[in-house]
Amino acid sequence: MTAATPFSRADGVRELHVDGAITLFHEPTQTALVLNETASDVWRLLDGRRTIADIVDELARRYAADAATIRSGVHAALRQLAEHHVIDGAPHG
Amino acid sequence: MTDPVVLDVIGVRVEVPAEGHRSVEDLYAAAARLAVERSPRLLFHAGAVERDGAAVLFPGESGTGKSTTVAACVRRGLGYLTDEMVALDLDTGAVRGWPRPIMLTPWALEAVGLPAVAGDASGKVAVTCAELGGTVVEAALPVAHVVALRRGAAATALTPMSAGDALTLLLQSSFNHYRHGAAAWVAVTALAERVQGWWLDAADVDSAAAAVAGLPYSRS
Repeated sequence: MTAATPFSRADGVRELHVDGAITLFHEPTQTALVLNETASDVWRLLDGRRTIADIVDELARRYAADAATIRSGVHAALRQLAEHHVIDGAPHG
Repeated sequence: MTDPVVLDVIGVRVEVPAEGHRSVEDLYAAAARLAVERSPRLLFHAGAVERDGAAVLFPGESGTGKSTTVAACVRRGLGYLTDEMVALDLDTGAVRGWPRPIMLTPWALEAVGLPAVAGDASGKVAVTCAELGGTVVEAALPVAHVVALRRGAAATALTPMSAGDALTLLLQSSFNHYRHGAAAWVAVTALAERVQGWWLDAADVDSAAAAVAGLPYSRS
Protein backbone atom coordinates (compact mmCIF):
# COMPACT_ATOMS: atom_id res chain seq x y z
CA MET A 1 0.00 0.00 0.00
CA THR A 2 1.54 3.32 -1.04
CA ALA A 3 0.49 6.95 -1.24
CA ALA A 4 -0.64 6.16 -4.77
CA THR A 5 -2.94 3.32 -3.72
CA PRO A 6 -6.62 4.21 -3.66
CA PHE A 7 -8.52 3.57 -0.47
CA SER A 8 -12.08 2.38 -0.41
CA ARG A 9 -14.78 1.93 2.16
CA ALA A 10 -15.03 -1.60 3.48
CA ASP A 11 -18.11 -3.73 2.97
CA GLY A 12 -20.57 -4.05 5.82
CA VAL A 13 -20.26 -0.47 7.05
CA ARG A 14 -23.39 1.51 7.88
CA GLU A 15 -23.36 5.28 8.13
CA LEU A 16 -25.56 7.74 10.01
CA HIS A 17 -25.32 11.47 10.47
CA VAL A 18 -26.03 13.38 13.64
CA ASP A 19 -25.92 17.17 13.42
CA GLY A 20 -23.16 17.07 10.83
CA ALA A 21 -21.09 14.39 12.56
CA ILE A 22 -20.66 11.01 10.89
CA THR A 23 -21.05 7.80 12.84
CA LEU A 24 -20.19 4.40 11.39
CA PHE A 25 -21.15 0.89 12.38
CA HIS A 26 -19.07 -2.05 11.19
CA GLU A 27 -21.43 -4.98 10.95
CA PRO A 28 -18.84 -7.80 10.95
CA THR A 29 -17.24 -6.66 14.22
CA GLN A 30 -20.38 -4.97 15.63
CA THR A 31 -18.43 -1.85 16.53
CA ALA A 32 -19.46 1.79 16.29
CA LEU A 33 -17.37 4.90 16.02
CA VAL A 34 -17.93 8.62 15.71
CA LEU A 35 -15.65 10.45 13.31
CA ASN A 36 -13.92 13.69 14.15
CA GLU A 37 -13.88 16.51 11.64
CA THR A 38 -10.77 15.37 9.79
CA ALA A 39 -11.86 11.74 9.65
CA SER A 40 -15.27 12.87 8.38
CA ASP A 41 -13.60 14.84 5.58
CA VAL A 42 -11.46 11.86 4.65
CA TRP A 43 -14.40 9.46 4.81
CA ARG A 44 -16.43 11.61 2.41
CA LEU A 45 -13.54 11.57 -0.07
CA LEU A 46 -13.07 7.80 -0.06
CA ASP A 47 -14.53 6.79 -3.37
CA GLY A 48 -12.27 3.90 -4.31
CA ARG A 49 -10.41 6.07 -6.81
CA ARG A 50 -8.74 8.78 -4.75
CA THR A 51 -5.28 8.08 -3.35
CA ILE A 52 -3.83 9.53 -0.14
CA ALA A 53 -2.09 12.15 -2.26
CA ASP A 54 -5.40 13.06 -3.91
CA ILE A 55 -7.10 13.39 -0.54
CA VAL A 56 -4.28 15.54 0.87
CA ASP A 57 -4.36 17.78 -2.20
CA GLU A 58 -8.12 18.16 -2.02
CA LEU A 59 -8.16 19.04 1.68
CA ALA A 60 -5.14 21.34 1.42
CA ARG A 61 -6.95 23.21 -1.34
CA ARG A 62 -10.24 23.28 0.56
CA TYR A 63 -8.73 24.60 3.78
CA ALA A 64 -5.89 26.59 2.21
CA ALA A 65 -3.60 24.78 4.62
CA ASP A 66 -0.05 23.51 4.60
CA ALA A 67 0.13 20.12 2.85
CA ALA A 68 2.40 18.59 5.51
CA THR A 69 -0.09 19.41 8.25
CA ILE A 70 -2.97 18.07 6.20
CA ARG A 71 -0.99 14.92 5.34
CA SER A 72 -0.38 14.21 9.02
CA GLY A 73 -4.08 14.58 9.80
CA VAL A 74 -5.11 12.43 6.85
CA HIS A 75 -2.73 9.66 7.88
CA ALA A 76 -4.03 9.76 11.45
CA ALA A 77 -7.62 9.63 10.19
CA LEU A 78 -6.87 6.71 7.88
CA ARG A 79 -5.18 4.84 10.72
CA GLN A 80 -8.27 5.36 12.89
CA LEU A 81 -10.55 4.16 10.10
CA ALA A 82 -8.32 1.15 9.41
CA GLU A 83 -8.21 0.21 13.09
CA HIS A 84 -12.00 0.02 13.04
CA HIS A 85 -11.94 -2.01 9.80
CA VAL A 86 -14.15 0.46 7.97
CA ILE A 87 -11.68 0.95 5.11
CA ASP A 88 -9.80 -1.54 3.03
CA GLY A 89 -6.04 -1.26 3.45
CA ALA A 90 -3.85 0.39 6.06
CA PRO A 91 -1.89 3.58 5.49
CA HIS A 92 1.88 3.75 5.82
CA GLY A 93 3.80 6.58 7.43
CA MET B 1 -26.26 -20.49 54.49
CA THR B 2 -27.94 -17.10 54.11
CA ASP B 3 -30.58 -16.66 51.46
CA PRO B 4 -29.42 -14.67 48.44
CA VAL B 5 -30.36 -11.04 48.07
CA VAL B 6 -33.00 -10.66 45.37
CA LEU B 7 -32.97 -7.36 43.50
CA ASP B 8 -34.92 -5.87 40.61
CA VAL B 9 -32.43 -4.13 38.35
CA ILE B 10 -34.60 -2.17 35.93
CA GLY B 11 -36.94 -5.04 35.25
CA VAL B 12 -34.34 -7.81 35.57
CA ARG B 13 -34.66 -10.01 38.65
CA VAL B 14 -31.24 -10.99 39.94
CA GLU B 15 -30.12 -13.06 42.90
CA VAL B 16 -26.84 -12.13 44.52
CA PRO B 17 -25.16 -14.11 47.32
CA ALA B 18 -25.70 -12.20 50.53
CA GLU B 19 -22.19 -12.95 51.76
CA GLY B 20 -18.71 -12.50 50.40
CA HIS B 21 -19.02 -8.84 49.44
CA ARG B 22 -16.49 -6.37 50.73
CA SER B 23 -19.06 -3.59 50.79
CA VAL B 24 -22.63 -2.67 49.90
CA GLU B 25 -21.33 -1.15 46.68
CA ASP B 26 -19.72 -4.48 45.78
CA LEU B 27 -23.05 -6.24 46.28
CA TYR B 28 -24.76 -3.80 43.94
CA ALA B 29 -21.92 -4.12 41.44
CA ALA B 30 -22.46 -7.88 41.38
CA ALA B 31 -26.16 -7.32 40.75
CA ALA B 32 -25.38 -4.87 37.96
CA ARG B 33 -23.08 -7.37 36.23
CA LEU B 34 -25.84 -9.97 36.21
CA ALA B 35 -28.37 -7.47 34.87
CA VAL B 36 -26.03 -6.37 32.09
CA GLU B 37 -25.96 -9.91 30.75
CA ARG B 38 -29.74 -10.37 30.90
CA SER B 39 -31.38 -7.04 30.21
CA PRO B 40 -33.39 -6.69 27.00
CA ARG B 41 -32.69 -2.98 27.18
CA LEU B 42 -29.57 -0.98 26.46
CA LEU B 43 -27.87 -0.14 29.75
CA PHE B 44 -25.69 2.89 30.38
CA HIS B 45 -23.29 3.72 33.18
CA ALA B 46 -24.98 6.97 34.13
CA GLY B 47 -26.61 8.83 36.94
CA ALA B 48 -29.98 10.37 36.17
CA VAL B 49 -32.52 12.77 37.63
CA GLU B 50 -35.96 13.88 36.55
CA ARG B 51 -36.90 17.44 35.84
CA ASP B 52 -40.22 18.55 34.39
CA GLY B 53 -41.11 15.04 33.27
CA ALA B 54 -37.86 14.36 31.40
CA ALA B 55 -34.57 12.74 32.33
CA VAL B 56 -31.21 14.42 32.68
CA LEU B 57 -28.42 11.85 32.23
CA PHE B 58 -24.90 12.02 33.64
CA PRO B 59 -22.97 9.33 31.75
CA GLY B 60 -19.49 8.59 32.99
CA GLU B 61 -17.02 6.33 34.68
CA SER B 62 -16.89 5.78 38.40
CA GLY B 63 -15.26 8.72 40.14
CA THR B 64 -16.60 11.41 37.83
CA GLY B 65 -19.04 12.70 40.43
CA LYS B 66 -22.28 11.11 39.25
CA SER B 67 -23.56 10.07 42.68
CA THR B 68 -22.67 13.32 44.40
CA THR B 69 -24.22 15.42 41.65
CA VAL B 70 -27.36 13.29 41.60
CA ALA B 71 -27.67 13.56 45.38
CA ALA B 72 -27.28 17.33 45.23
CA CYS B 73 -29.93 17.52 42.50
CA VAL B 74 -32.30 15.41 44.61
CA ARG B 75 -31.70 17.81 47.51
CA ARG B 76 -32.86 20.57 45.17
CA GLY B 77 -36.12 18.76 44.49
CA LEU B 78 -35.34 16.94 41.26
CA GLY B 79 -36.65 13.37 40.99
CA TYR B 80 -34.31 10.45 41.58
CA LEU B 81 -33.80 7.87 38.84
CA THR B 82 -30.39 6.42 39.65
CA ASP B 83 -26.82 7.16 40.62
CA GLU B 84 -25.45 4.25 38.59
CA MET B 85 -27.37 2.85 35.65
CA VAL B 86 -30.17 3.69 33.23
CA ALA B 87 -31.91 1.47 30.70
CA LEU B 88 -32.89 2.74 27.27
CA ASP B 89 -35.88 1.13 25.58
CA LEU B 90 -34.71 0.66 21.99
CA ASP B 91 -38.23 1.04 20.61
CA THR B 92 -39.50 4.07 22.52
CA GLY B 93 -36.25 5.87 23.34
CA ALA B 94 -37.44 6.31 26.94
CA VAL B 95 -35.20 5.57 29.91
CA ARG B 96 -35.72 4.11 33.34
CA GLY B 97 -33.29 4.32 36.22
CA TRP B 98 -32.07 1.83 38.81
CA PRO B 99 -33.07 3.64 42.01
CA ARG B 100 -30.70 1.87 44.35
CA PRO B 101 -29.46 3.71 47.44
CA ILE B 102 -27.03 6.46 46.48
CA MET B 103 -23.42 5.64 47.28
CA LEU B 104 -21.76 8.66 48.86
CA THR B 105 -18.40 9.25 50.45
CA PRO B 106 -18.26 11.06 53.81
CA TRP B 107 -17.09 14.13 51.88
CA ALA B 108 -20.10 13.90 49.56
CA LEU B 109 -22.48 13.50 52.51
CA GLU B 110 -21.25 16.79 53.94
CA ALA B 111 -21.35 18.41 50.51
CA VAL B 112 -25.08 17.68 50.25
CA GLY B 113 -25.79 18.76 53.81
CA LEU B 114 -25.90 15.43 55.61
CA PRO B 115 -23.76 14.49 58.61
CA ALA B 116 -20.51 12.84 57.56
CA VAL B 117 -20.33 9.28 58.82
CA ALA B 118 -17.67 6.71 58.14
CA GLY B 119 -18.13 4.59 55.04
CA ASP B 120 -17.81 0.82 54.79
CA ALA B 121 -14.92 -1.00 53.14
CA SER B 122 -15.59 0.85 49.89
CA GLY B 123 -15.35 4.14 51.76
CA LYS B 124 -18.97 4.92 50.95
CA VAL B 125 -22.32 5.11 52.69
CA ALA B 126 -25.57 3.91 51.13
CA VAL B 127 -28.07 6.76 51.40
CA THR B 128 -31.71 6.37 50.45
CA CYS B 129 -33.52 8.90 48.34
CA ALA B 130 -35.87 9.50 51.30
CA GLU B 131 -32.91 10.42 53.53
CA LEU B 132 -32.12 13.13 51.02
CA GLY B 133 -35.73 14.31 51.15
CA GLY B 134 -36.32 13.28 47.55
CA THR B 135 -38.72 11.25 45.47
CA VAL B 136 -37.91 8.16 43.44
CA VAL B 137 -39.09 8.24 39.83
CA GLU B 138 -39.64 4.75 38.47
CA ALA B 139 -41.54 5.72 35.33
CA ALA B 140 -39.99 5.59 31.88
CA LEU B 141 -39.06 9.10 30.77
CA PRO B 142 -37.91 10.81 27.60
CA VAL B 143 -34.36 12.16 27.80
CA ALA B 144 -33.94 15.91 27.52
CA HIS B 145 -30.30 16.46 28.45
CA VAL B 146 -27.01 14.57 28.58
CA VAL B 147 -24.46 16.16 30.90
CA ALA B 148 -20.74 15.33 31.06
CA LEU B 149 -19.33 16.19 34.47
CA ARG B 150 -15.91 17.75 34.81
CA ARG B 151 -14.78 18.39 38.35
CA GLY B 152 -12.29 20.86 39.73
CA ALA B 153 -13.22 23.91 37.65
CA ALA B 154 -12.49 27.39 38.96
CA ALA B 155 -16.09 28.37 38.25
CA THR B 156 -19.18 26.34 37.46
CA ALA B 157 -20.20 26.64 33.84
CA LEU B 158 -22.39 24.83 31.34
CA THR B 159 -21.16 24.65 27.76
CA PRO B 160 -23.21 23.14 24.93
CA MET B 161 -21.87 19.85 23.62
CA SER B 162 -22.08 18.79 19.99
CA ALA B 163 -24.37 15.91 19.11
CA GLY B 164 -21.30 14.00 17.93
CA ASP B 165 -19.65 14.37 21.32
CA ALA B 166 -22.91 13.38 23.04
CA LEU B 167 -23.04 10.29 20.86
CA THR B 168 -19.44 9.40 21.68
CA LEU B 169 -20.11 9.84 25.39
CA LEU B 170 -23.23 7.66 25.25
CA LEU B 171 -21.54 4.93 23.22
CA GLN B 172 -18.61 4.86 25.63
CA SER B 173 -20.99 4.63 28.58
CA SER B 174 -23.02 1.71 27.30
CA PHE B 175 -22.61 -1.49 29.28
CA ASN B 176 -24.17 -3.97 26.88
CA HIS B 177 -24.33 -2.49 23.37
CA TYR B 178 -22.54 -5.59 22.07
CA ARG B 179 -25.67 -7.61 22.84
CA HIS B 180 -27.89 -5.39 20.71
CA GLY B 181 -25.65 -4.73 17.68
CA ALA B 182 -26.78 -2.25 15.08
CA ALA B 183 -30.13 -1.67 16.81
CA ALA B 184 -28.24 -0.21 19.78
CA TRP B 185 -26.15 2.01 17.54
CA VAL B 186 -29.23 3.31 15.72
CA ALA B 187 -31.07 3.95 19.00
CA VAL B 188 -28.14 5.74 20.61
CA THR B 189 -27.58 7.85 17.52
CA ALA B 190 -31.26 8.83 17.56
CA LEU B 191 -30.98 9.65 21.24
CA ALA B 192 -27.92 11.84 20.68
CA GLU B 193 -29.82 13.70 17.98
CA ARG B 194 -32.83 14.33 20.23
CA VAL B 195 -31.10 15.50 23.37
CA GLN B 196 -29.06 18.55 24.23
CA GLY B 197 -25.60 17.70 25.45
CA TRP B 198 -23.65 19.80 27.93
CA TRP B 199 -20.20 19.96 29.46
CA LEU B 200 -20.68 20.84 33.11
CA ASP B 201 -17.49 22.23 34.60
CA ALA B 202 -18.17 22.14 38.31
CA ALA B 203 -16.48 24.26 40.93
CA ASP B 204 -18.61 22.81 43.73
CA VAL B 205 -21.49 20.42 44.20
CA ASP B 206 -24.19 22.94 45.01
CA SER B 207 -23.55 25.21 42.05
CA ALA B 208 -23.39 22.17 39.77
CA ALA B 209 -26.82 21.04 40.95
CA ALA B 210 -28.12 24.58 40.52
CA ALA B 211 -26.86 24.56 36.94
CA VAL B 212 -28.67 21.27 36.26
CA ALA B 213 -31.86 22.59 37.83
CA GLY B 214 -31.61 25.63 35.58
CA LEU B 215 -31.18 23.76 32.29
CA PRO B 216 -33.56 24.92 29.57
CA TYR B 217 -36.74 22.92 29.21
CA SER B 218 -35.96 21.47 25.82
CA ARG B 219 -33.40 21.55 23.09
CA SER B 220 -33.57 24.81 21.21
